[in-house]
Amino acid sequence: MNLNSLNTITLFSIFSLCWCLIALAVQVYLSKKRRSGSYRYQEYSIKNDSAKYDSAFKAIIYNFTKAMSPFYKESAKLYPVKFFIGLVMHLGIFCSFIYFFLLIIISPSILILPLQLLHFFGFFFLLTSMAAVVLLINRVTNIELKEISNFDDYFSITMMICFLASISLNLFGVVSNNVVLAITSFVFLYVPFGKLRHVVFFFLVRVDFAKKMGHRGVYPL
Amino acid sequence: MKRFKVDFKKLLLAEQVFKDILNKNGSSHLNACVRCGLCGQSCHIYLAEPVVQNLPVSKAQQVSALFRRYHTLSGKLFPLLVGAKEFSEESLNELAESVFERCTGCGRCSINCSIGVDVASIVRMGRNILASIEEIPSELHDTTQNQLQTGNQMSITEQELNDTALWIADDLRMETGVEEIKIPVDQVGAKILYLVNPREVKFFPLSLSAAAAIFASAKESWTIASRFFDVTNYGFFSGDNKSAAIITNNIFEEAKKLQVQEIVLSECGHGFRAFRWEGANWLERKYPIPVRSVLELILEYIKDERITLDKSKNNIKVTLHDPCNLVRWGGVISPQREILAAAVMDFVEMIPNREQNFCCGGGGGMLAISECGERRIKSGKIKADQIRNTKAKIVATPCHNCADQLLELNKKYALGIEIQSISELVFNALKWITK
Repeated sequence: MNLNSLNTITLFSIFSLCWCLIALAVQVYLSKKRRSGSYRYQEYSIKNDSAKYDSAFKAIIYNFTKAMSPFYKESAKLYPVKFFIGLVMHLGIFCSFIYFFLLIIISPSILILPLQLLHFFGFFFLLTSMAAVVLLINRVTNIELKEISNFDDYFSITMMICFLASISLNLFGVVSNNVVLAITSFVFLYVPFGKLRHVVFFFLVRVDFAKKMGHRGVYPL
Repeated sequence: MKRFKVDFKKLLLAEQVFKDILNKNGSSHLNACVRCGLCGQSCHIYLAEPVVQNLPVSKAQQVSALFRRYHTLSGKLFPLLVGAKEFSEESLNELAESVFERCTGCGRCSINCSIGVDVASIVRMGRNILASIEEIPSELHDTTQNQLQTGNQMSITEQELNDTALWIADDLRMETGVEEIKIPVDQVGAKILYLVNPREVKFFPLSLSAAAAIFASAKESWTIASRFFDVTNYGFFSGDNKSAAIITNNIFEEAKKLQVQEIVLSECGHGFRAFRWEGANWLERKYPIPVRSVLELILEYIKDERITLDKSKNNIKVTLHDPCNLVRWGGVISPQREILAAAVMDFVEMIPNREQNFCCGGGGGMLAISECGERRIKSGKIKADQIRNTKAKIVATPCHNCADQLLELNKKYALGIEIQSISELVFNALKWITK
């Protein structure tokens, strides 16, 4: 990647990515710094054969695998359609970050890939953006969900729809790379402000909860 | 809980306390919720009364909205856009209703959350805030004060305890014909300090009686303390960590005085969680001696053949209720099952069970809060249905709080069951005692 060859929008997207990473890192640091002398994970325990104490590492592995599966976790088991739709959207988001890096690193040569392959991924991202649309409709139409939602909830998912759709349209050759980069930049700028920061905190809380449950001998099951 | 007034001083205090209690875990969890709303089906209160206020996410929102207002940039700049709200009389009253009257802190939503947010711990933070400004349900407040002032939640005097210990032991000796049975009180140098629920002393002595027989059968060296014998901790229920720490410390001081080697907790869900796991956090130090549940000890006796059981003495179908604080929050999952396998002929699991078991409805201090009576019984229907589906005639539960709730559910939903502690079933199956 030759920095001199980068256009303004590419540089701006790199800047916004850096902002996002730094802001999230600061938030994580602050959340870790906020302590009140807690002995939470230094709880005294005795070893005996009735429970699996001090198995925090195994518990963390468990909490990212079996505990998240639709066979165990009720939020997935009891809502298989929503779970699947959510999974598709998140898969799209993870792939879109890869696409973002490809755009920056090898752009515009990405478009020399076989047309069929580009269209295949175009359809994939279209599908993931549709999944996000379904989730937005669900949030708007479900009375309970509507009551617990705020502007950030609607805005974040709308942004994801635009983000995923722009990549899809880019792969179909409808919109330029610059449009994708501009939308991506906006996403990165917003992430630290709203619920999208769960991109980091999701991992932190699953590790945190697993450590507690592992230490107490509840996890892994 | 009655609506309360909040002055400026209390608002400032609440804000300060919130800042203090935000440890790393708390703020991570408060940052992570995406308000997907998929936690409802995991909450027995929501299932019984499906209104938005009963969604676990709504309860957590009462705390996370405050968090966003004071501890996030977006909440400080654009509070309305991110659903942030300030400490106010309104917000604190809403918080109190959510965390005391709509949640037992059972944690079933925590293990089933799509993200992994520990909703129950967020609710506990809410209780911590309210306890700091002394706005907790009067029943919890008064019971905590009783514990602080008299050493136990029912204000049982030392004389009363001594007398009860004497007559229970007398009765037991007569019933079994075993002369060695006794209930030692304040015996210096005993190996075990056994903590009991004051309910066992005052109203339901069968559990204490069963434990005494089991200890005698195992030839255990044990004692109860005449002053600090209470396994419960209402500071824990109230969210009053300072009082909870004092109550915990009193027990360790007593243990030191009696020179015991170990503290064993009788069958009490929250008492186990409070002493075994949370106490070290409140005291901010490691315990000097081990603490474990009597279930773990009984299982050890069975494995070491210190007691022998004849399961044919318990030939009625038994099911098991898993107390949330002992099982989901405490990790004592298999001992009670292994004990029942050795002590009863016909054991059937409820569905769901173990860490996925539903709360009985009486947890989190809700049993004590009079205004929650109707909701408590209503939300207990989930448990009643679970029990009925097993077709068992005895429900074993290693928790006195749950036992009280199950007794009420038995009446209300005409379950026709008997509620027993694990110790009682073990006592009934003890081989060497001629009954």
